[in-house]
Amino acid sequence: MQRLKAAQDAYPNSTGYENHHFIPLYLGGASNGQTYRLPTAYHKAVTQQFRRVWPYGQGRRPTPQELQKLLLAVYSEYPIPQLIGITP
Amino acid sequence: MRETIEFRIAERDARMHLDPGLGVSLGGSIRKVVLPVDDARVGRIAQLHRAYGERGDAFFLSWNLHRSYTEKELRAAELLNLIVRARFEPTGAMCGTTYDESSTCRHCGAGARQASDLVLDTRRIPKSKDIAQTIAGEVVVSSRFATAFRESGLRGAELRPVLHQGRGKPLSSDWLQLIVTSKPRSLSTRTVAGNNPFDLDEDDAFRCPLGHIAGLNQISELYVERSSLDDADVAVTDKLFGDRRGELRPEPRLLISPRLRDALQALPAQGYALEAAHFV
Repeated sequence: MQRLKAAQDAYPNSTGYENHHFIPLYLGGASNGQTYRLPTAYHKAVTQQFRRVWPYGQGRRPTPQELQKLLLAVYSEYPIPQLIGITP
Repeated sequence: MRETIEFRIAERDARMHLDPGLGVSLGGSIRKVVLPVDDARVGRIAQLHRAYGERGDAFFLSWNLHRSYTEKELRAAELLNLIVRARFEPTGAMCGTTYDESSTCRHCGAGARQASDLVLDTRRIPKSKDIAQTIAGEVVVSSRFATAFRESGLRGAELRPVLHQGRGKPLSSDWLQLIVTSKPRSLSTRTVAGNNPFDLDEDDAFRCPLGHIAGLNQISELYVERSSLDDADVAVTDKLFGDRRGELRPEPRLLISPRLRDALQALPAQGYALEAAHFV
């Protein structure tokens, strides 16, 4: 809940909800892969964290093992609310 | 040429093993560390990464090699690797571009043939750029790039329309797709490819047994067989990098002549970087 609130504070003009790909497309996620409906501000915060960990647009790819570590690093800090029993 | 390597490391791990003054914090939980490739601390990070790997973990989360050149070095290069910096999504396939997958390699997924005009959400193309590419490797250029390409009499590619995915049928746009039509250049085995600079994929997990893919990632500058040289100003490598995963596809590297470099610099075009490539 703290993270959700912090994201809302960081992006006060972001309202509504957006679908978030659990594995971002630029890291090899499929367009029809698992998505979660997140508040737009939280979606922005999660996306920003992914790009801190693996910058966008560098034309490189993680191995599947590296991808697991990336996902763990991001989602341990910015969990998917639905996966920890919170309705966003 | 000056080569540096950038690492992104979880702050928790960086704090345990690295000097607290090394690198900069990104958002508090990630540390960005940039070092010359021959710095002794790079060796230390590689050791740590191997040690973490032995217990199924990883020390750094991501890496990137940066190569910077003097103007004199770039001018002296006989051949250049054009790196498209501006990337975007959704991909063509997500917007209605059709691909013929009948000749796709069953091992690596390379070889899908684009069977329609490229359809994109052109609003997602970075507006200030002259060259950009989707995360699936579809390369688009601005009309000013196209004009310069044609007026300079450059050879080796066709520029085809890019359609905008509108609410109804696709609409025309100001963007063009760069389709390389010249003979692919033979990538030399001197080109280093691998999973990361410390893991060159000795098991060939990401190399196609039929030879389509050189490796998951390009590690070194490109080396190309001189025998494959012709008079084209733009060409692709015969071997690809990457893999087929989700919307991502294996991609060749773009090679350009000094003439095309001059045309890009005269514009000046936005959205790309150049590295020297070498003939062997």
